[in-house]
Amino acid sequence: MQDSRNWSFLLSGLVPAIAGAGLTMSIVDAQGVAVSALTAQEDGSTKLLSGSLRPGTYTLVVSGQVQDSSYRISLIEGNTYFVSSTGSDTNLGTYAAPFSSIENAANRADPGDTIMIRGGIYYDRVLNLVKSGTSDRPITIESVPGEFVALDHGFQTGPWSATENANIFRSTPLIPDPTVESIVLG
Amino acid sequence: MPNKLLYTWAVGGINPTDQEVLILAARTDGLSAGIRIFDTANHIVIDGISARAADAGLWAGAFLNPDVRGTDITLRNSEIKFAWDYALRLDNWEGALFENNNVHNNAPINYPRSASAIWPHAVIGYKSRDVTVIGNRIHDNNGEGVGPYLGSDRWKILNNVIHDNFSVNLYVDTELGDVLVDGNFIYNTPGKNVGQSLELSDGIRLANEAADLGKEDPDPSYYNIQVTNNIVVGTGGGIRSFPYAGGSSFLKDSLIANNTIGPLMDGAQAIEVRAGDTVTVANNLAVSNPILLARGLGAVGIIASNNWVSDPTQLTRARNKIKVTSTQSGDPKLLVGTGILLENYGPQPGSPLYGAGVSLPQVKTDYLGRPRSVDLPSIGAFESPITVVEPQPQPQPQPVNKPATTPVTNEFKPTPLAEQLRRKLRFGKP
Repeated sequence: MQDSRNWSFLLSGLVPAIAGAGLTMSIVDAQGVAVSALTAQEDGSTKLLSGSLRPGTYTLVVSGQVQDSSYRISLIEGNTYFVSSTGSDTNLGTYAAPFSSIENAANRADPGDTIMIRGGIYYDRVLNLVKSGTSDRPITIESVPGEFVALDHGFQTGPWSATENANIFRSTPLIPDPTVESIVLG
Repeated sequence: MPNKLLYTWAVGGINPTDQEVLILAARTDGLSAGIRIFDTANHIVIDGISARAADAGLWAGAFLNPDVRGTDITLRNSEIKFAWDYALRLDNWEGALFENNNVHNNAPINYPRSASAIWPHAVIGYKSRDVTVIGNRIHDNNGEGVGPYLGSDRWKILNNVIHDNFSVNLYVDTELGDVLVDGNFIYNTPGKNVGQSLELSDGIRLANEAADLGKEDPDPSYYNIQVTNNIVVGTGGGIRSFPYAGGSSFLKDSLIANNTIGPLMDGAQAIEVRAGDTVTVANNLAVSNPILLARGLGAVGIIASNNWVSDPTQLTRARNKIKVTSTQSGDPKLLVGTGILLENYGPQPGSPLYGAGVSLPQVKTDYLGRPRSVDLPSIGAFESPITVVEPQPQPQPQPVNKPATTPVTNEFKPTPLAEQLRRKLRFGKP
């Protein structure tokens, strides 16, 4: 497990009417336990929460006078590589220039690094993970908070089009392995 | 590009492009499709993915040197579905955490459900150690649900909701032991297994099939297994330990306590221990099915105390070395006591179950994690009355500085106990 580090959460640009005493921030860990011993500060429309936390996933709760809002956040230590279904493995793996394959990102990861996967469907028949983390600095592979990531290990098809029968649709198999054809009937 | 076409019959004439379409490969390529963590990779965390249509969904194993185990895999907040065979599999592995996952509809290799095919576990470990399976939903898989298998020990299966799997929902099948099964809600929905040729399978089963099938095992016991605070409803048997195929295996140094077993298949045992050496069966509530204690072994045999059955004839001891004390019977005054909703099996205020158990130092909390009375614990999974908490709409989080593109399902957890109660009761609804 990675050591604790000092982190700060800055909420800025708030409308003054909802800032101040009517607005609070808190952090809840993955087990649903509120993290104590955090220092809260405010300055006009800016709220700051500071304290010591281990890297991992938390929920930031902003409680207002009207309703509460919660945000899933990841505290990441080490390098972060981003993967997007619209990226390219010739990119640098940044948020702006993500990789296209999870395996490519995983092959570059060192202990303590995190691979953030953007929302989308990834058609990898096999995802072989060969690099190791360490007991206190694992390699983490996770979806970007708030985005849905599907790994489809089956076979991808193209769009389905209607036929003369209202219940029958037709598609083209997009099979990465050309030796596999036997799934197609007809 | 292959020059062939796929055709599908779409129910209702809805274009499949707008739906989730999975095409699984036949299992002819050595279970090669899926997430593979073999030999060189250790200390991996996977969080928040949905993996589907693999051969085996996530498979972590160390194969190059049988004396060197793989180490440390975490899978959490994820979904594994429609894996052709296993959903989560460990081989020669030490240290795994499967937490808050939804593992469902796997093993279509056995679909339609039939005893003529193989029916792999959804979650399984071979020669696996220090595995924790906590807070998952494991359901509608076409094989067994979850459990340690050959050569496995030191598992904890905690606070899961396990239901409607084809075969045994939670199966501890090992020649070793040191397994804790606590706080799980296990049920079969009526009609889900219609058409299978097996009788409805057990909620929890304990066994050492390897010893019973004559494989090399000089000691046919499986030991130090604690099954506590579980709720089992609507399955074939409830919690059963018995030799497979007439073998010689037996349960040793183990505890089956404070479980609530609701109505099961007619004639099935709520609790059954065919052979036990130093086994305690205590403080269990069997709502309508019987308890059978068949044969005590060793100096102590089987000790049964303060179990609640529907009438005194429903606790049977078949042979020697079985000590039965303070069996209780009558109306336990449950909230409802029928159907499969979990809250039906909470005792009413004033239930005779409260304070009617025997003190068991191993059982410190109840199904909801509330402390047990040290001197006068209650019978069954609930130590005190429960309050049904209906799930409330949760605020939808939004990614910072960018709009959400996909609905988010993560939920704010107010407190551990409140969340645990809410989640467990929510999952109890069909």
